[in-house]
Amino acid sequence: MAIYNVFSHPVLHQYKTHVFSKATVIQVLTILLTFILPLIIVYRSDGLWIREIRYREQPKITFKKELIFLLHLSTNQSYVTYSTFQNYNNLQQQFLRIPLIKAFEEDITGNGLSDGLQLNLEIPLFDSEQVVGVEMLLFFTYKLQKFSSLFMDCMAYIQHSFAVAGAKLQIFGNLQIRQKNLLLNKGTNRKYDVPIVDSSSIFSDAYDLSQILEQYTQRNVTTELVAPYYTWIVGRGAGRPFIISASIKYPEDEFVISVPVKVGLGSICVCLGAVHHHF
Amino acid sequence: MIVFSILSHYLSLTLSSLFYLSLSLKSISPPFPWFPSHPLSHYLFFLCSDSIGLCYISLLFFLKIYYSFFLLVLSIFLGIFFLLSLSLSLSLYINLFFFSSGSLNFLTFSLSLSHNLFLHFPLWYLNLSLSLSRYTLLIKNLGGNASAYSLPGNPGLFVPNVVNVSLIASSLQVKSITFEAFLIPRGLSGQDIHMQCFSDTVQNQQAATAFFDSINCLKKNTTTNLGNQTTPANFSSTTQTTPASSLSTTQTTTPAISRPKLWLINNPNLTLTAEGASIQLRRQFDVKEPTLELVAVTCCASLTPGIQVLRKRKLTLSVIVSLGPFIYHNDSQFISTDEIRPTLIGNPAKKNFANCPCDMTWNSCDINCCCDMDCSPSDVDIFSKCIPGYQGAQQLPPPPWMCDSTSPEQIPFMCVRTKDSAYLGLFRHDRSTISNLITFKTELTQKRYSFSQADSSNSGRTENFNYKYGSQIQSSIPNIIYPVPRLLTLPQRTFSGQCATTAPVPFLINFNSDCIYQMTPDLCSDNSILSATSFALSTALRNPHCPHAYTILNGLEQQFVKTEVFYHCTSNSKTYLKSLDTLSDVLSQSLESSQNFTIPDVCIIDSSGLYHCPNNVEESLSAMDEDLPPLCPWDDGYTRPSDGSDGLQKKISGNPGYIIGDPIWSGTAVTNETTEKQLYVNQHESQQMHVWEPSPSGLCSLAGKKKITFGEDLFSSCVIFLTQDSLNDCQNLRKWLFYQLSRLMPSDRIGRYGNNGAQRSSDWIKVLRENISDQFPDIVPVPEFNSTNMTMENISSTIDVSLPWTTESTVANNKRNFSQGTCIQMPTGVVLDIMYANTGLVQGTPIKEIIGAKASYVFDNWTFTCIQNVMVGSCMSPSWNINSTERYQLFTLTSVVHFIRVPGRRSKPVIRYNELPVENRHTFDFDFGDIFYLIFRQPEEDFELYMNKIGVILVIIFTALLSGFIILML
Repeated sequence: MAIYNVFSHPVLHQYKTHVFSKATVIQVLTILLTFILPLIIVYRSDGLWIREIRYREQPKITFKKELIFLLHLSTNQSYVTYSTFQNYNNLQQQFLRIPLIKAFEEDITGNGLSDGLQLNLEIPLFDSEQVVGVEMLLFFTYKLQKFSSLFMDCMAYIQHSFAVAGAKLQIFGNLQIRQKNLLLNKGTNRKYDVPIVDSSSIFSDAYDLSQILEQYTQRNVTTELVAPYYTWIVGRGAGRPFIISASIKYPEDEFVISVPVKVGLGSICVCLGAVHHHF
Repeated sequence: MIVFSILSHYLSLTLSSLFYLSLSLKSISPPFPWFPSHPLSHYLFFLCSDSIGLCYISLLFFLKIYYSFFLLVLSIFLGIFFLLSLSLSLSLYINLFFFSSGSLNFLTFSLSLSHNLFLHFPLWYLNLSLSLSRYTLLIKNLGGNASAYSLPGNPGLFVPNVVNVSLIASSLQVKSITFEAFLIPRGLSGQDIHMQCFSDTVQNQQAATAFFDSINCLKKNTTTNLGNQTTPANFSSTTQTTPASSLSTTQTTTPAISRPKLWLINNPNLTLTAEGASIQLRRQFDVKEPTLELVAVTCCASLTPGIQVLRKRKLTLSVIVSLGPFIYHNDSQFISTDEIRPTLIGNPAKKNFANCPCDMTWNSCDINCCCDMDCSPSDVDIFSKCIPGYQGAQQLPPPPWMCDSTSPEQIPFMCVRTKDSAYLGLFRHDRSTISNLITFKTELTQKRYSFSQADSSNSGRTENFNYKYGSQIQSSIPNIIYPVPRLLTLPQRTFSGQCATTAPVPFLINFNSDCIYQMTPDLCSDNSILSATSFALSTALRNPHCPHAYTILNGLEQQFVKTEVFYHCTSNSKTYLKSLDTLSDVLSQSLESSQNFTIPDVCIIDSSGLYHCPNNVEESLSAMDEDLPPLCPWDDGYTRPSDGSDGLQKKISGNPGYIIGDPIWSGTAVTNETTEKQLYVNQHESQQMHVWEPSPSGLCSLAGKKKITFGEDLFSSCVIFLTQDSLNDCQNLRKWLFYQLSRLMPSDRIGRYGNNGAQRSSDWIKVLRENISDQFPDIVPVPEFNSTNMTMENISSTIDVSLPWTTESTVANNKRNFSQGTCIQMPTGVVLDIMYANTGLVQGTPIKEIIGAKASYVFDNWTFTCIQNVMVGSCMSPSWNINSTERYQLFTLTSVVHFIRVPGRRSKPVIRYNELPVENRHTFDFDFGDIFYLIFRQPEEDFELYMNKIGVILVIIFTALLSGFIILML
């Protein structure tokens, strides 16, 4: 005869004990170990909380079409200079030398963000003038979008000198961020969205390089020209200008930000879920 | 679980029966190549050769063991895969669903999955290992039954009373005057055999055989006491009959009968023990010249009771000895100069090589080395001392506390060091020298990089080849008998601006180069860089005049092609020589002349402030770059083609779209007066768009003009020096400024593409200009209303120059005398905005087309501030003329070109959150696109990466499904 299951029901066992008993001790120890041991393990491993996270983003960098340059000449510590600031040019009367400026920002990847700047300066010089050094400031605007909106003005400082008079200086480098503290994870930061050089000033100290650099380095977020390679082409022909050719890339960069609340919330949810399931 | 075990059983059954079938068909010792070399297989073979039933059972077990191993490994892999997918899905969950309440179910599901896995997994393992051990036990029992089987070994017949003795020389090519021969017995145990040995020098192998035959061992056994050094009489008689040898000089010089023996055995009577024995042979005399000798050695064994010597009782050996006269023989040792080599000791970790550290040379006795096995006892006797030393390569430095002076026989204050360390020093592996070429080459190929100067010019130069883009161009002299091909070269700059005189010219690549040379008389020679014969000449010019000049070869057939080369000569070398001008020189020459603000009468201004001049107005501002000197006088025009003004082909800036960095094309439209239809576009140099190319002085009158290049934003300016008088006449100055800026950007048409037909009006777009007639009614005429062009301009003239100024400026212009030296609304610059877009693709390259252009003036107010005794920045008094009271103030004229790409980027579909202002919107705020991040292709992602991602997702889904299915089954 075939046997079949007529009815089934679970059996509930209940174990009862006094408060002062070995079972209670074991129960208390188990509960304690359930909560404290993971806490200790977590704390000893790498700290309890994640305080900062890294992410990558390609910033939106735009050349402001503003620059200052100065060429050191070998004769009598003379120089020629130019800037896109009228007040500075007014200060440098007899040393002013007007260049031909070509700038081209290309979006290679087609994501709407420029990937680099190709800047070409042709500075006309007399044949008797021999360039032995170059100092140049290029000004950019910088924009971040992914976590917090960061708007700032930034710059690249180019400085190169050579013992032999040159005809052309080529610069190859990347404009990258240098942050001193964490960026925000949300909101908007416009603290440094002010021009680095006060072009409305007619005073000379507004264009003093040491002051510009000092104020710039005091900021929490700056950019710098990373790994600049210079080629110094010698041999300037008769009537030829001195050429500064800068190829500056705007690469994707890494940023450190404070942990957004939602990430913390997410991990707490996971922990709670695990605990919930455990019991 | 039940299904699983049924499956496994069925599988093992099938496999084992297959295996058994194959085994019974042909009994092969290794059945399958994959069959594991396991001790069990021995048992299996034994069993299978014996009983079919046992074989089947054991095979079943055997295969089951391996099968369960396979299952174990499989389950481990599955577990790893499942954990991986679990963690990935967990991270997915954290990223995506932490806000939704329904996601907790998902989490619970994942956790329960892992729970099940972890709970069940040890059980599997336990189960498997238990069954495994059970099977192993069974097999072992079966093996116990089969203990009679022994594996076959080397069969050695062992007969106790047969002894095999062999006589072997230490070397068959002896090069010294002593050598050794070994007597090696086999099968000798316990008893000794007495041996007697003889030797002689023979001429050839036949003589050696005769010598061996002459020795009668049975007879010699009785004459053992005859003497050590003498040979039997019958033996010497046999050698006497041999003819005199040319090889052995000693033999020919010595008499035959009383000839002393050359080679003697040191120990002719010896006792052969089980360990073997050796005989030492020694030549009596040194050699004076190269000698080749054959030494025959034979040994007789005496009859010993109980031992049966195999074959015969006579042992023979013949050794070739070659000796040179340069052998240095010194009493007890000899050194052959070409035979000294270091002792190879092998790996010191495995071999005790340091038993004689002073044994430095192989096969020869080292002086004072008592442990050298090559030294005979007589050598050792005459050693002055034995070299002391540790049995190692290097001494251990003694620790300082080991220094004491307790020894009474030493001087008390001396340091006595004792050594009791087992440390033998540091050893290194010996490295054998490389003696053949193959070893050398294999050693060489392991080192990849070495300093070398690869000659790439030879590898690149092939005799017959087709020209490709960028390949070198060959040239040759046609009329000589053996033409040597030569690369077409031009002086070019390399490394950091240094000029390479003979740099090759690449095919199909346009370039220009400039070089700097010191002016020397050598530059005027035939071979100088300025000589046209160093490069290539036009075919027309070469043929009658200059037959020995180089000309270009076409690639494959090596034919001479028709060539046109243009050489430009200058009689005015001033522009090519460095001048010593300074700023004040230039200013003193040209400042006065730059104060002429007149406009040619033929030029008329239109409503947009643009001056139109006829073509015959000589261009005062000559473009510097395009200004080549005339062709050389020796190039008498034969080469000049009939069409084209300069003999140069019309360049294009890309086809069809523009190439970034190439010049844009512009011009003025020439229309039919009656039909007002556009005939063609005048692209003369004077009608094209330019920007200033500033000169070192910065003066506008000296500034050149630079063509506008596509895609590159341009900015340049020049300065004019104005006196107060000039600024008092604002009207004239303004006209002059309009004229100057008009001449800089005179075009009204801009080419849309890189190659535009002058006659195709569709290739050109109109340059929009603002109507400024209401600002400057006294200068600019009011447009006629019937002109359609003008109305278009009216519409487009959304003037960003401040309109509120307009009425005031006209008033101010009318009453310009209210302030001396102030001019308002002066045109100080011209801005050209060019819009371009990517309008299609040609073979994957976007077509960059100019779709719009606008030229506009920039206005500014000029005030003369350089009055007497006031030094403001932009003031200057002519320093070359101190008496002059004239003061100049510097004003700047700018020219700007701005390229705008429209649309700025690919437009995305607008969704609601994107409508937030940009500052308040962040990508990570609330982006629904993040949810499907893994599935959808991201804009910055390339296709290959995307396919990888999709593949990973599929693998994850598959493994999750599979593992879930397996767990459900279990």
